[in-house]
Amino acid sequence: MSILQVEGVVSGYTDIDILNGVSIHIGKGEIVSIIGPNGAGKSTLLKTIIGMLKPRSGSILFDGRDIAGMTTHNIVAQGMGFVPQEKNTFPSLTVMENLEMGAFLRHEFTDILNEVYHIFPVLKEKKNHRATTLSGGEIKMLAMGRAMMPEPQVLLLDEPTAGLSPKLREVVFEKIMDINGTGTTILMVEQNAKKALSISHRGYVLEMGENRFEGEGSTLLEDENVLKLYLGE
Amino acid sequence: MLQLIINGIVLGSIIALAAIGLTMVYGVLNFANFSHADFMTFGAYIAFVLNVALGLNIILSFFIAIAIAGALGVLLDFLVWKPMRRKNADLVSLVIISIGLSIIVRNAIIFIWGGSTRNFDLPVRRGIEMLGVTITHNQLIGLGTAILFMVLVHFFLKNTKLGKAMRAISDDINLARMSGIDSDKVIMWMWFIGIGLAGVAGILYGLETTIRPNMGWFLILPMFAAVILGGIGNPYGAMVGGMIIGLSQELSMLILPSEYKMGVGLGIMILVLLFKPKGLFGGTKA
Repeated sequence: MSILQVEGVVSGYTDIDILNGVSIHIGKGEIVSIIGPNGAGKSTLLKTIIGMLKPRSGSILFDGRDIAGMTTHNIVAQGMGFVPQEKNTFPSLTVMENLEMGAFLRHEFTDILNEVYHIFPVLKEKKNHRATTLSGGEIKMLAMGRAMMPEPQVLLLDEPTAGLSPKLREVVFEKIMDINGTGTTILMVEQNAKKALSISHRGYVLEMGENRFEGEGSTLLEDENVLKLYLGE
Repeated sequence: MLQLIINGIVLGSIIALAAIGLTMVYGVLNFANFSHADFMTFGAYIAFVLNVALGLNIILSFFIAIAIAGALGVLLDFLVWKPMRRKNADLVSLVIISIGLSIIVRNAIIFIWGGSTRNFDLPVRRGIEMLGVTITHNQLIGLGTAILFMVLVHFFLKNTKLGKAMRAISDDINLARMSGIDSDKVIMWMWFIGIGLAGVAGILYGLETTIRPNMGWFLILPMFAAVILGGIGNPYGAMVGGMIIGLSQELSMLILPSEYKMGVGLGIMILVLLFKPKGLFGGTKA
């Protein structure tokens, strides 16, 4: 039973369609990666799922409910979380206030706050610092921490390791596995395709707004076509 | 000199109070709302009607007038600004609409209450003299009230969930939505508080000077100067900016004829835009 099922979604910006009928499904508890060349529509897909863009056709079933066309804050209220690639923290708010905003829809958040602090100890250390004073790596941690606060069933990550040093990338991938370990289903878009597929249960290759390949993470990593076309070998 | 400083602080606190709402709207909705200061005037006239025409106590009139001004802010959000957001209206259209709204409000006030100056019904009391300077009772009350409201705004922004959500929306409205914040609801409250505070400032200004149809309009440029000086979208910057503009305008009389008072605020605004476009304290918008 899929927790998230995207069927034939056509979506894009005012004048152009970026997605021309994408279908993906994600099972409960999975890590699923979407890879593909620039302009394939990976980020557009995430933005459409979270309601920043309205699909022109197709359906998006989240835990059995069609969320296509709902407003973003309502989709979030249904249990979806999103970490954008950029602009993913509130710069003038403190670390603690950022996390509180993540928990906006909750009345009580002590337990999940402790869990976020456990996964990202640096956030506890710097809880009273303004987000604008954090380093690039710390900002990614805060962005993920903020998105974890509502305890979403599904967390969407847009390029979680973009712009990070190789060492920090490793850390972020570990944290993603930690978050998945808490029972959160993860759908991520990643440039660093090999590493992403290696920690994923399954993956999709997107090209020109359509699905090209799909399969288990390890299978895709060994597929000659995928290797040649998208993994640069 | 000392007298000018006191007058400057009093004027500055009024500009500061009114500029809070102006900067919040600018920061979140991305447009310069030229009608903002006319809601100062509106608030002052409502308080005048309640106090003088209906004979209510000045304090009661004050609070009712603030609530009515705030409610008008919310009503206009529903009638004008929200539909414009839905249509993704561009910045220039919004500014032109706000100028039109400003003219409508001002002329409606002239139509209803006429163009002559009015005063609140208050006992005339002698000012307090100290060290050769005079502070009138109304100045003292005005300053105290303005400071009290600024402290309240600070408490609201720092310690309440709605206040924090307002700061979050001002930082990044899309991320706020992704955090589950209903942006339309928070924006509605922002209008209530912003226009309500403009009402407070208008009543205080009317208390210290007189109530007249263009009292707010003449303060809109110093208010923009305060907003830009403090950094667009930054309510604390607007408060400090308001104080600086008020003080500079009054102190300029030491060297310039008083007709140039208004020019001083504008001069500061131009200098800030040229040399420190993000303002003294950094805004949420460039």
